[in-house]
Amino acid sequence: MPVIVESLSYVYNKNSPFEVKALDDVSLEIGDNEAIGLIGPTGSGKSTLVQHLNGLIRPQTGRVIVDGTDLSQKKVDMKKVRRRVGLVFQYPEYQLFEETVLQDVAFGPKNLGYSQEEAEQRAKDALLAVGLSSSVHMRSPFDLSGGQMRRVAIAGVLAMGPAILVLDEPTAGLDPRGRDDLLRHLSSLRAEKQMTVVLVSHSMEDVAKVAERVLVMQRGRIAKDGPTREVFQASEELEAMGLGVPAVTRLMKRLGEKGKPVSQNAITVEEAAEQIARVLRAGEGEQHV
Amino acid sequence: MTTIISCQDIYHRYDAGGAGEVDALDGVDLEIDESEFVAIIGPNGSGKSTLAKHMNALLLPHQGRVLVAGRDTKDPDLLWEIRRTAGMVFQNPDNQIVATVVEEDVAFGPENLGLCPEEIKRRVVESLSAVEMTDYLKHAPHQLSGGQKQRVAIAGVLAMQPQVLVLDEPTAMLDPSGRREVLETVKRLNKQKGITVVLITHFMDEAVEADRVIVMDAGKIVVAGPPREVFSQVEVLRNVGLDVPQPTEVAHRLKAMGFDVPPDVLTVDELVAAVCR
Repeated sequence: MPVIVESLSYVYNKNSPFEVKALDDVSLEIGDNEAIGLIGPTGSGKSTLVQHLNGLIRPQTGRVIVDGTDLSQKKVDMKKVRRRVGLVFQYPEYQLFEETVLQDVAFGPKNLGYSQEEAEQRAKDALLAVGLSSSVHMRSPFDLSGGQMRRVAIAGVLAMGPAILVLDEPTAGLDPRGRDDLLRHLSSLRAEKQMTVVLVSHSMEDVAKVAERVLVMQRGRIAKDGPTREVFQASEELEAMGLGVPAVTRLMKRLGEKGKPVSQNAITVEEAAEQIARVLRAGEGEQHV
Repeated sequence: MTTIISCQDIYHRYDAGGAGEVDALDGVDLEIDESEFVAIIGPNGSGKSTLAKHMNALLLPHQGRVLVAGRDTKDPDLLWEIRRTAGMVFQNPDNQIVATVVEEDVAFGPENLGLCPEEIKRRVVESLSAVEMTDYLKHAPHQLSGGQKQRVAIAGVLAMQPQVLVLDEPTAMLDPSGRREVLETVKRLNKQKGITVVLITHFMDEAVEADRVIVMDAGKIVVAGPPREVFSQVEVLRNVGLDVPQPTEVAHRLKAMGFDVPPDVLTVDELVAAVCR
């Protein structure tokens, strides 16, 4: 179920003195079961792009095709599109409203026309998928911790059974454990449900943990698109854009400059430690000879 | 060293609905010196924000007392004096900006103090220059980036000429360059103007920049000390659900594999030096 974006441009406040070009001739394809990190400085067009993916914004110029449906056409079954592409906004826990966690998560599927029973079953499955046990079902969502509330909100989108899950800054404001838990659940969701996950994030460390492909946006355009390791190789370029690379990527680069034979494409702490250990072991070997 | 903020065995209880009462602060003792840069880290719900809000009398302790520049926060007559001494900056810049033009926003505080127009103008210019936003005097806040908005929010607090700046996750919503801008600004205000800084953050690489790191868990201070000392206790931090900076974690792993690497490495540069020895 691919998503195809073709020559998409979008201008806010068109034909007014406040005209802002948010997207400028963007083309890309998102395949099945991908793990994508979407990065870019504030105002680079990330949010505008993802809002096109489930029809919250209609294309002005160019096309967005989801599951064979062209969203620029007048008669589009938006309900169907939104069931396929789930969008989790920033701070989604502000949108919780029901009396119990279960009711809150079941709200989406009920709106899609599922019976009470089916909706609740979907809600239970979705809560399990984000690592929340049945002990929270009957609690008020507002009594939970920040990280738990965030996961309830994400479950609300999951319960609608999307094939593509787009999350805008899902770890902002979470503590490190909450952040790691959430990222782990996203990775396993992708594996178990064959979903495509698109992570919009300012955290290069998060992107390095989850994404296999990285899209870099700058001034409304896709400036880079490639495998995570490859994209993070261009650390100077990313830093010039106001982004960055994970600290370990900088570490490997510096060691390389010092003449240490480390592979430059380590992007996680585990990989970096492996690489350095190899170099240190080789060094010890030499001394003994 | 003069103590500027003194929290003396403070307790604060919240009614957590069905879950009964929760001790958000469970006996906290903390002294902060003038011109010190203190970072407070801890998992969600550990009491960091509750503690910060006690430092300018937004919250009052149910037990114990808080002194800000020697003034007891429980004395209602001292409230405005205390809030002028310790100013707060929050996570979301959009919730803190009140005016439609940058200079008016920064002028809001001093206007409320009833200062004369010349003095207000002087403070606005000085505060914006301290956060390097003078060029944006006449801009509308919505035209600014997240980092710029947060710097305007800081300028708004500076215009009150506080001795202490308390920042509650000021970079959580910013992109990497915005985060850097805000952190550099805070460091500069601390080093050059001697303003005491209390920074609450989930980013360990920000906490590394402080003179002292306070780790909170379940309403208590569990570890406190210079960053190098605190972050070398990788296991303790893990147990409360926190991270250490990535270079520290790499060093820790290498150490566990039996290599002779100092356990208190904090930055990329330090680790490179240790490996290239």
